Amino acid sequence: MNANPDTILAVAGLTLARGPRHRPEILVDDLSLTIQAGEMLALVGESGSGKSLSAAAVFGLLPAGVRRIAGSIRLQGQELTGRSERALRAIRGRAMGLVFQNPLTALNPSLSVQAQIAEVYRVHRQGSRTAARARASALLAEVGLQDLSGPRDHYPHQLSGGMRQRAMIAMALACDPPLLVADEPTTALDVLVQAQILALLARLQRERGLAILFITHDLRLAARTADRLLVLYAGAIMEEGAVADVFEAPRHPYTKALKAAIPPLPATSQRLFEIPGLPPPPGPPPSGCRFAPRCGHVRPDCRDAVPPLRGAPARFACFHPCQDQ
Amino acid sequence: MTETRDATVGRGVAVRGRWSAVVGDISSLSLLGGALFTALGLFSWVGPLLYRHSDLAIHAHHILKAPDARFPLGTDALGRDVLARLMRGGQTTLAISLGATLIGLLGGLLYGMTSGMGPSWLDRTLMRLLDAVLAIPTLVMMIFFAAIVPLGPISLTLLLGLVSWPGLARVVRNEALAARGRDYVRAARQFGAGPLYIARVHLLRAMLPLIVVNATFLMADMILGLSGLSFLGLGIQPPHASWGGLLNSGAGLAVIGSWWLIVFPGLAIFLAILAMNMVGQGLLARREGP
Amino acid sequence: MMRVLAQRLATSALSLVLLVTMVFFMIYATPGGPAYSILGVHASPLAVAALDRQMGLEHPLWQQYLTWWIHLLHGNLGYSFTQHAPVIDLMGSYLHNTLLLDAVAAGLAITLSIALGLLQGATAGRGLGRVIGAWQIVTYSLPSFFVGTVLILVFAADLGWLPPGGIRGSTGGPGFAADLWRHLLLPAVTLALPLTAGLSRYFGQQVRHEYREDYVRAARARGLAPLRIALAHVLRNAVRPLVTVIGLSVPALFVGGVLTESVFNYPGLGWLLWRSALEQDYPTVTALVLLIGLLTILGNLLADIINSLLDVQVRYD
Repeated sequence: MNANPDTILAVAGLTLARGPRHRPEILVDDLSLTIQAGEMLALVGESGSGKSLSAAAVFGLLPAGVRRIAGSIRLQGQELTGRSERALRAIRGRAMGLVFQNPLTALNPSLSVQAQIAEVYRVHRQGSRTAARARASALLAEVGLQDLSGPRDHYPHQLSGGMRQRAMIAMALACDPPLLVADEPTTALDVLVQAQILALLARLQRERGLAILFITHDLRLAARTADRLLVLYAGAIMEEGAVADVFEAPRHPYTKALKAAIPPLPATSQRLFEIPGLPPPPGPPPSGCRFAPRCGHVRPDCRDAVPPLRGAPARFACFHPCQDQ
Repeated sequence: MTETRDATVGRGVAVRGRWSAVVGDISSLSLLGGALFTALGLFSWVGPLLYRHSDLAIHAHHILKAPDARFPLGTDALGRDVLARLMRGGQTTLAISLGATLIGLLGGLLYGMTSGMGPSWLDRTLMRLLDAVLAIPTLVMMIFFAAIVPLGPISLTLLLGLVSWPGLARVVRNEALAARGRDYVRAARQFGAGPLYIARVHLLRAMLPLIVVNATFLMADMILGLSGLSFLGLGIQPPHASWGGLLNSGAGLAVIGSWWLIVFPGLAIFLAILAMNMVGQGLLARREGP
Repeated sequence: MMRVLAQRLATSALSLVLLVTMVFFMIYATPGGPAYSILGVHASPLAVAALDRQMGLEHPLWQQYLTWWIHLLHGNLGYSFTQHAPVIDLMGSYLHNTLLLDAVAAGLAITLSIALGLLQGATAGRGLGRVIGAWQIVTYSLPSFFVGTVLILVFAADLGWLPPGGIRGSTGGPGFAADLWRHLLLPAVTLALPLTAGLSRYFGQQVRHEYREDYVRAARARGLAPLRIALAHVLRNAVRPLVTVIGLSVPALFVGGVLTESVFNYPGLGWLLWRSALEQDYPTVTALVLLIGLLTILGNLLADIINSLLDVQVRYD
């Protein structure tokens, strides 16, 4: 897997759990993914599917009580698991940047945006105050905030939602990391601004050769922006592959259902499709397919064994995949 | 998004579970504090029934005796039994503090409710007035009156109670104002409920946990205030015993070696205040969540 | 900005007027009447009659009230028969001593509170956080007059390291400053302890709330070290409400001051209030109540102003 020198992030067999050791609740089950330089992978799933938790695991910032019980995380060939907190600190922000869902709360309200960007640069690059400041101005200009690149300080509350998110992206890029993780970066923004932020991410991906892990609950958004899709349900991969395969011709009933649940544009009076039931609560590893209780195509053998990931080029975890329409 | 929704759900639960938050599951800190306070009460009132020695009897041959078998906590400069005086002092201190707390609660509730329920001009006037009252620290106010009026136990209780309410009044007013805007109170008004009915049925009930918490802190303040005043020689006057007074008369003698004259009354005051603060902090922690 | 300031000033002025009015009525409601309040209970009827005339007590209440104001504005606070001086002349040195003690105690308390609160907020729910929490409740419950007495017992009477009270052994000369510090140490610690317990508890809660904010998670994701997050990010946001609380604890400082100064015989306003109350020196007591009220209002005003200045940097740019 690591033979390819362009592989930026390679996660293999990542399993996260909480609760007692003898009866753990599995939150993320055997997650594997790779992202190449200049590629955007979208991690799609409902809330609670474990997508944000996976991002936290990459950064070594799992919430209290959640632990990694198996799996490896490699960044540019370097193993990140098992490293000391100190070693991880030197990597966070320098070799990978994280963009949050709500830029208002993710920015420190009492520090200027410039100071917060410069701080990352100074901490990781030991640059001078002026160099860091110049760096902040350049980055702000790069993300489309030319107005803020002057000498005047700007505080988060003075900016619009879209500007704040641009500033967050600039901050994540302060040390030119090869990997950017964007955790629902557009969910807190209105539709027009969403499109602008996605365009910005695509431009950075292209111009910088940035590897982007784009985490979203919105399949349509993911299909429009990313190169590849990885569909997560209840902590496990349902389907993975290029957008052309997964979105245009989904093989897994879950992906198909997700796609069917997208409201049509422009809106029609047609009744919206909804997936019956609710995702299962985290618990011990299941005996069959996780989606079986809600699946429209469920057969008896779906409940007997967990379907393995199979297929090429797109992979899916289903015994009875949908046929091409 | 999910976070805000969770928060509202949590608040709804808190409103419904308020009463149970006070009575249903009292934290161990509160229980411990309650037990400590009960123990001090038993010491003061049941103690004298078991330890039958006068707090005023003078043992002329046993002046400034260190604790021993006959006088478990020693004797003072006049040869009086410190343990007996400590029990009697506890009665005085606790009874006056409790009475003053009740008066303060009543005053704070009345003032705060009037301000919070009344028209806005009244509210503004009362709150400005409260600012001015609050500018004089409680103990300074007590000293002022103690200097002008000669004080007995009853007048001391009244004085402590009358100077202690402003802090509570503001809390009650803010809470009443907040509750007034809630839908269920608005709805009650739509159905023609009068202000007194709303105050009694809706506001008081919603505020009860807050009042209980504040009452414990008020009680702690009263014990501290009364003991401080007596320590300054302006509260309970000798020969009547109070914990603060015992500390006052012992302070000079402790320096020449009679440590028992200050350690025991000091500990008694400390433990009583600690007990009340523990009850209050325990309830507060329950209210606010971990 | 100027409008906010003007509004705050107006509020404080109103509080002050109400305070003076309140004290006026407190005195005029005194059994025996204002003449007794000023001359003391041992005054001769002749002196009372003379003062009644001098103060114009035969005039209606509103005229007396006006006179009271005129006297106040001229700095005429009456004459202290126990100190044998006009009350206004007494205030200076006592005020100076109190401000000195309060400044040292407040400085100590604020420094300790910020350190303890940061530590408590960062270790909330774990061992150290709980220990600090327990320490706060215990210390907050310790009466300052008991702590002071025990400190004198241990450090002055028993060990003989520090003086038991007063403010100075010598006046001027070499070693004066050191001597002053030796006198200040015990009272300052006594005064600072409960204040530290209260302030650090409040600040610890602020810090705990800040640590739950997204920007802390974001700072971790940028690879910032815990110490840097605590000092450059969390502290900055948590400290702002602390300013108001410090302003609001000015009364606590005076209450603690009365008791502490009395225990240590430290000649400050609190000590003077105590002595004057014991000796029923009403003009002095009245003047002190007014002065302490004034200082409290000024303390709150100052906290308000500092707060809005801190806010301005962020909000108004």
